[in-house]
Amino acid sequence: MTWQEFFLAYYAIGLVTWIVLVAHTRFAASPDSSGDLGEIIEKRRRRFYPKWKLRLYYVLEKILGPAIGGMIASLVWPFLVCWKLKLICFPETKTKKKPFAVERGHLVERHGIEELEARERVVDPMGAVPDVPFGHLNVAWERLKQDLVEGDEVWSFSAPCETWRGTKGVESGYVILHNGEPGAFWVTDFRELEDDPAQVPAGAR
Amino acid sequence: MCDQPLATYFARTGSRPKFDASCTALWRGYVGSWEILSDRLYLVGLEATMEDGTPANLATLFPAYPERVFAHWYYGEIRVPQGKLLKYVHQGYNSIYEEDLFILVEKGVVVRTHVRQNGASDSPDAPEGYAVGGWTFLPREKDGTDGQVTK
Repeated sequence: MTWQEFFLAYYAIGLVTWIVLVAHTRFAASPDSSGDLGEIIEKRRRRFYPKWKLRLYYVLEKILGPAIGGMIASLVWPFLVCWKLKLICFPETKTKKKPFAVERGHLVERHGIEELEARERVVDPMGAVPDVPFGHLNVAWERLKQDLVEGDEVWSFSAPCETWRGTKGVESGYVILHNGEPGAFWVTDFRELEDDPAQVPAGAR
Repeated sequence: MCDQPLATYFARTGSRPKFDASCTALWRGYVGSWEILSDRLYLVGLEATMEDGTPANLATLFPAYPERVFAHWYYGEIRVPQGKLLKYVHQGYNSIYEEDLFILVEKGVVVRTHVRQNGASDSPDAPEGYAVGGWTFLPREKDGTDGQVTK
């Protein structure tokens, strides 16, 4: 086998490997959020660009780019295979956060609607807030009230949570107890905690 | 300042207007102007463009309060970098300046402030005031910008 034949065989294997990897990524891999930016840019292009520019970008991104990428990838295919094997054997575990729900242990105090609405009026000397319960957040309070039916109770709650940075915090707000079980809720406050257990409100302990 | 109290408002009300992101340095699509007056935090201005291309201001979000909105929904510690730039970090609010002023706000009212010294700049030309070193304009018809990178 001459070196030219060896190179051709090596390159042919690389080309097939690249096609298989691209096909796997496109059709078999699970979608994630990495395409968000591409989608936003594509949407704006469709809205603002003339047709000739859209075609130019199509040729650059869908034909020329992948062709050049494929040529390069076919040369370094052993690295691509190793990388793909690593991803398959040691997948990154992305744990999905459980959606927040108020539990009975988070309940703090039962409130009457009138008492609560009187207490939650916001006063500002500059008059920069409406004189309604919860001020500028009144729309959210009214939305929660729409879920109230005869016999329901409104409770305040305080629940431990984690910030996006991984630090600890407390979410508090109001929840509707329907047949004794927490249901619709509204988070009015979030506080990040320092490492001091004394700061944790009763309902969140 | 390195915080977005208006984002908290959108989270609390459960609705966020569809702003148009004009560049990669401003994905949220708006710039709010804030003022602390008599220890109270106020939103006093808003510059934004809606997704349909119409300009938006404070009156767009708060029609009855076009001049000033009391941010009573906000609880948090606002960081205000001050002095000269010590280290530029091209991510979020991670750049470091000579000092940080921290303002702890509870329900829109300032309860505590403190200053943290981060060091002193040796360079007389070091920039002051928080800024982003580079960004990419997203496609937009009116201003003709097209994926340009500005520094």
